[in-house]
Amino acid sequence: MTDIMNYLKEAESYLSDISEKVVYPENQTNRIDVYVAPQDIKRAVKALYDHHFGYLITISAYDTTSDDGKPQIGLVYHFGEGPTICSIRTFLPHDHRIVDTICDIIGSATVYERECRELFGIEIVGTPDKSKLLLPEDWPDGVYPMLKSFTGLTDAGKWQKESK
Amino acid sequence: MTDNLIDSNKSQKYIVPIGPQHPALKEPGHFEFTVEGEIVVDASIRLGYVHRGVEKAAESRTWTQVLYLVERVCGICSHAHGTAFIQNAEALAGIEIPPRAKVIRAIAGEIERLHSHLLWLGVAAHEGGFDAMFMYSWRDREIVMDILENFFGNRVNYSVNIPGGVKEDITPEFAEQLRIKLDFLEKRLKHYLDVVNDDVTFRARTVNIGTLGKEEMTRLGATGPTARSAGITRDIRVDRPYSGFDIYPINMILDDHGDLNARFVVRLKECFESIRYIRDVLEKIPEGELSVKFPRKIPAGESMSSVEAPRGELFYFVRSNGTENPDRVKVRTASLCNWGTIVSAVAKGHKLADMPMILAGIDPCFSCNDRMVNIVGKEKNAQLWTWEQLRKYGINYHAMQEGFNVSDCGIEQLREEK
Amino acid sequence: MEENIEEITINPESSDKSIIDSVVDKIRSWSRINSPWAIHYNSGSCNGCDIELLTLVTPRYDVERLGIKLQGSPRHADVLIVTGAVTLQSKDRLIRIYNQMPEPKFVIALGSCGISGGVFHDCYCVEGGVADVIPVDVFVPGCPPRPEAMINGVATLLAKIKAGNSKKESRGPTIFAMPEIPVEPAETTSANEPSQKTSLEPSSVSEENQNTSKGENQ
Repeated sequence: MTDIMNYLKEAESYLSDISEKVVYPENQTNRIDVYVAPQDIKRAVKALYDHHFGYLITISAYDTTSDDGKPQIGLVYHFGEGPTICSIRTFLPHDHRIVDTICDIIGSATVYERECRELFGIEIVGTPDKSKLLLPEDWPDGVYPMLKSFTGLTDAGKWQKESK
Repeated sequence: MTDNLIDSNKSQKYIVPIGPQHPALKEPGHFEFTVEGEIVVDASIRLGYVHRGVEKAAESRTWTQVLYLVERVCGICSHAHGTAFIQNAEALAGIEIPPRAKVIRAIAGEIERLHSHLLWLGVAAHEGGFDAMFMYSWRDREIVMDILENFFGNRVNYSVNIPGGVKEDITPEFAEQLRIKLDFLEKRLKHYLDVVNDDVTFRARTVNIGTLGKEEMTRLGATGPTARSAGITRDIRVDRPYSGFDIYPINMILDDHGDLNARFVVRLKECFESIRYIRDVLEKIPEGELSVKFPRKIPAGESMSSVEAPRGELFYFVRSNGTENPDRVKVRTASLCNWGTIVSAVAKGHKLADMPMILAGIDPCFSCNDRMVNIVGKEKNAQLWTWEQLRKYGINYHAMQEGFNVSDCGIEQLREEK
Repeated sequence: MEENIEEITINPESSDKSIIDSVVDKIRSWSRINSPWAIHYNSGSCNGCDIELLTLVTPRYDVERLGIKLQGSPRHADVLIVTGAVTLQSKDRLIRIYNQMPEPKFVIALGSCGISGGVFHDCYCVEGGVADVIPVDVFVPGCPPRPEAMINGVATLLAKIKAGNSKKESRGPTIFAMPEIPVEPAETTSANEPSQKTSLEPSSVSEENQNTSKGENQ
């Protein structure tokens, strides 16, 4: 257990000058959530990378609402190191979904960034590959299926039938 | 067409898209390789031909329904998907499953690993033109399928997990049968390990091919046997032990060569370790209940955890909003990140003829059926290749390098379908 | 084979052309029934059906001894075996493969997803079952179907071809740009449009097959 704590403290110390808030989740003792501002994502990732802390597991996004009821996208960069998972997290307001790429630091992040672009409409500045990864070629622009406002099958199906 | 390409494209720059007719899993990829002469200089990937929208569909289903949905993300590692999801749900609900259920989950996971590695061994051998090995390993894989069927009542998608535990118990009779079958399997696996280590043609296609150093693998976040073949100590069963592996630990198999041959060796040795583990654990499996009650609604919260699927780390990120349905289920499968590794690093600098084996080396659930391969020249003189043709191109290329006259090879001629 | 040709030469048709046609037809159907060549396409499956289909060519089941051959090119195939729900992305490709196959062509849909979309039926990227896109001759249910059920599916299809062929009806054009083929009972369609009989009758035989292979499955 102390081993896990050491890892978590290590991650916290690397991000101490960037983090806005640090949370140790209660239901999973091997995790740490570090909240940063959207423009600091790249610095945070670089800090972990420069200290050789873990590897990028994936980038997750989710559609949620803030405490005052505004819709926003949660963006999570999961890093795994030994027994622990360190998550760098940020929130992007729906009308300003822009974040810097981290591909110049970690090259393999390109598939995750393409996924976030496609399914959530997050604009990733400087990402090397902007071609479609998952959705069909003739999927309409500006429709992001993982947003809560997307009602799924009926819309997509209807669109498909009308367009043909 | 195959032979023309070998002779004539010494200096042309081609883009070679491979895919998308993949009979493989969630991530049938469409690769685009840019080649200069023989050498691949750039690579890109396009998924989505089997993109169904499972993550979105999970948001409109109940927790129990999602369990059965995610088991069908991939039919080969369905138990890993089910375990990864349900252990997150159980962490959110704050329940601890009984130790016997944990151990049964671990045993099921190891049986699944045996079936998956044998499947992969056959397919990878097939990509290298070694069809006898494909047939042998798939014949022996049927033993594992029999075990799965006896145990869980289905050969694929066996649904061992239920929310809060497992549904089937391991009886003494089943354990006895299992031991006999594992003994036979172990004997066969020893033979395969000899083939991989000693066979000259096999070594010619695998040793020092697709090598990636430890440093770079670590940086790119490779997981599973692909990473362990380069000496990276990264195994979720050891690092973040989950159901069963926290009670009885398992050993990590490592190799330090980092090439294609090391990936074969690591996977085969993992099979031995799985057999040893199942045997050991069957002796001391704890008594007790199989499941505990699982609530219909789960308190709001977040959970993220991983499972060591046969292909590597399978990561699930689950959010609950306090209702009967999950708020978000994020799946990151092992093949995806290993593909990132391959595409961005391994492929570059290698011969086009080695691509089938290199791609098969990461075990992206390759099945040996038809895939379309587009060869698009800079002047838009597009050529259409099937995956089968690329495979043959690879085999023929290496045969010619060894000095065989391929046109004399009657079997290949017979198999030529175009 | 000798029997067949004998039979043909004793019963010549009115014109030369139809004699040749009928001979060729009979030889074709004879060879088709004895050795159907199949192409496999995954239109959005979870891989479960695919690995089970692949076991068919490996030593335990070995359908090549029965003359069934899995091969790569749609232009050489008699039977298209489709696994999985049809995703939007793979739909066009599935139709293209279907259109590339020479007449007469037959389709087997494997697994629950091939029948209705299965667990993925309401996903945003899923069009539906295989029958929503191309006409299907035989459905094999199961998640995934056992290899024995798949062999039974092929046998059912062959029995169907054999029965259908004796009527000497050619199948009509089956190019579907945007097919919306309702699954209707065979009797109603065959009375009105005999030319499209085989392509439009996924119901009667297939239901029967569902029952048989379900029984076998359990």
